[in-house]
Amino acid sequence: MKLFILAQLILLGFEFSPDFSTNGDDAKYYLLGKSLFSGNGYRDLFDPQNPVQSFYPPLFPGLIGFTGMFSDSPMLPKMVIGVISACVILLLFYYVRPLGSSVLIPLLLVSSLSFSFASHATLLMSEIPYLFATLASLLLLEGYRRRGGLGGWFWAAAIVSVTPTFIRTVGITFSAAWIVTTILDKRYKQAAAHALLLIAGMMFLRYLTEGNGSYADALFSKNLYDPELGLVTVTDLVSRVGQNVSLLFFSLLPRSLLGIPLTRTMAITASFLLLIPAFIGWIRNFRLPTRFVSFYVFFYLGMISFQQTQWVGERFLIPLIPFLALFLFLGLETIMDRIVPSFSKPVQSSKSLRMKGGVLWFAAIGITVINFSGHLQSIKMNTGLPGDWKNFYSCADWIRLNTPSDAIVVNRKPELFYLRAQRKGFVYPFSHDVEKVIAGLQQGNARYCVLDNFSWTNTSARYLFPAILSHPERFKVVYSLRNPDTYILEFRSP
Amino acid sequence: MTVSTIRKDPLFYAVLFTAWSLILFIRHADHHYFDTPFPSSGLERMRGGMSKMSLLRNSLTELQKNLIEEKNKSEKPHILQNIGCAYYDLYKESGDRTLLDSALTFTYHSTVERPGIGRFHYNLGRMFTELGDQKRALQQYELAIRCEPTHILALSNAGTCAYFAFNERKAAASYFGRALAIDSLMPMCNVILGLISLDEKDRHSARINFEKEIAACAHATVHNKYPLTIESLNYAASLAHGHLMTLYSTAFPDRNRAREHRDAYLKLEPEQAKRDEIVKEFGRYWGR
Repeated sequence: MKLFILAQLILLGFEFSPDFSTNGDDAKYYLLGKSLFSGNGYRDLFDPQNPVQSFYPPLFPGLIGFTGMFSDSPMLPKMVIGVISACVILLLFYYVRPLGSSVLIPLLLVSSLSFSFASHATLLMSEIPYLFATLASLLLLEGYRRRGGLGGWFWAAAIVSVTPTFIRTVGITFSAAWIVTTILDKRYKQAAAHALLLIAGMMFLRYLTEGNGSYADALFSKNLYDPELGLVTVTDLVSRVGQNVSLLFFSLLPRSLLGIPLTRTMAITASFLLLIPAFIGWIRNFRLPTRFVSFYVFFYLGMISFQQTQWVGERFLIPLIPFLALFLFLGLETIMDRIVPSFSKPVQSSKSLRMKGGVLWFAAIGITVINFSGHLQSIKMNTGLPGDWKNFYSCADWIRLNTPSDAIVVNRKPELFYLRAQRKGFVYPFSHDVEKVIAGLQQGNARYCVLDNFSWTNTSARYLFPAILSHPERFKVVYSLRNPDTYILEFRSP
Repeated sequence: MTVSTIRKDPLFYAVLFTAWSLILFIRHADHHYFDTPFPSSGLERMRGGMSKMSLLRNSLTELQKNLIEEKNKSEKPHILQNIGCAYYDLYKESGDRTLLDSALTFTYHSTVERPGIGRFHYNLGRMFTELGDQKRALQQYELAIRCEPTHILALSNAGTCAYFAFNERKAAASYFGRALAIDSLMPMCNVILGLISLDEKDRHSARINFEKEIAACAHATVHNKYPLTIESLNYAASLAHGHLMTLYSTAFPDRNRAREHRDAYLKLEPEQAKRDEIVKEFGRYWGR
């Protein structure tokens, strides 16, 4: 155990970057935390409208905001996440221990050295704290089961068990699994306490977010980024679920376990090799002390299947990696018991035990070795920003030094831009109607806009540049860089 | 390894986590996120305006991809229009006439996909003007005006087309009158009204129109609300100054004013031959 955690922390140390990542979500969390602890409420500080944030639950930004009381640097909360990721392995050990060391040790090996897991342990993202909260809840439930009564363990389990929902909205599936399993275990008071605390928390959250939009709206929109498309029909929903299930099972799930990008053929092969045993393990787990996890994973994957397809990514699966690995090893054990009758005897010979353990170790080492290539790649690439991002940040520096403090800047990543430039901003409308884009800039009182040349998106070339061309008299280049061509344009009112 | 050999050790983990954090903190102690010195190394400043060609090509590629991928049907006409405009801008940059053909095709299709948008017809009109097909150009400008009666650029271009291509003075005056009713400082309108007045021997109105044009161009130089280049504004202003020099030398003799307008013309006119001619003309009226 100590070796696993030590190895995990060494890898995290090499892969650790003190900066915000370029996806922007970590910057959003950081700013929400800052907003909470600076008395501004739960608001997006980078947005000129200062709207209340209704998509991200507040516990994780609250944690970041708390660390902000000691240091402004994003490094401190990132180190806290790293430590929490190591604690996840500890909690996993205690939770899975009753299943025996044959499954436990390979599981800890795969989980602690998983590249997907590690990559999120070095980001300021909510997946790792969410996983920590789920495991802590499960351990407290075990503690309550052993002791019974309505004392400290009861309330600790009830209170901690609602925290996943307030760290990530998908945590509602954890709550659903909690209520189902506690009812099946005839622990009705625990189920009721959880439900009451959950409802109270949601009502408070609704009050805090002033009843603004939520993931429920996203669920029923055809495309959240294009409201004109309207609401989903049943056919749309069926199609969406089909697409998401295909994406999950033939791409994302195998990739999250193996930690490397896979070609279509490799992904399908890997999904058969990994997911069939995992499915068997999932079914078997219903009869084990860890059966909660089977309900939870079922509800979790079910909920993801209904999400907007552009959101379904590997990130959603990070909190499931240890559980998927658990199912995989349980499944492999079950398959071996079926294939070799002597393996399934109640009392097995040491040779049988060694052979069974050997197969699981072989699988665990194979998966870990594949994950290692992901780690090596990550360490090699951890050498600085690419040119498009350097230029973007240089634009932020120029804005910070040359514009009034209340200047509003239209750009593709307003939260990251705000942290650097200390200027509020928003993204231009994603519309091909150039008049809509110009009207959007006008209504937002934009003074400047950044015409980027990002390699990871083409929205500026599709939406912003045609709008600039249609009204050249309203834009004036004030700063420009090469490699790739990046501009700041002053936006003039008519 | 069996479970019994795995020991819990809170102190060990507390020390491990603290040591790990300290090592990271020391390793990245000199890293500043929020105030990296400006400019950063490796950045290459660009002088001058936008390098339009590469931006246009990139935008064109993305728009053409989007034409196939876009699921929102209401966006398709706008994509076609934007592709047409991108081709047109590329043509203006490079002079390649095949690009103008592509521009026309896509812009035309955008008007078919979504009739009733003034801006689409106006842009198609501009492209026909560029092609030299003034009849079709005027038709498109008129369609633009029908869709959007306050489309000031379409009104201005329709007036220009009606006067220069078809000598329809009354129609042209009507278009310009409507444009100026929307914005009295719209450049390029009064100068043509002045020419129309001269055609009709109304020198008094011509003088007023040319002087209004000069004021409009001066205003636009400082605060340009329309997609007019500085060369277009200078041309309109120089035309007005030239005619005013003539008017102040003939119908409304005033040597000082004539000289002022001559001098203003000389500043704006880039061609030497034309500058020499205006100097000669002034000399004819007023001597050296």
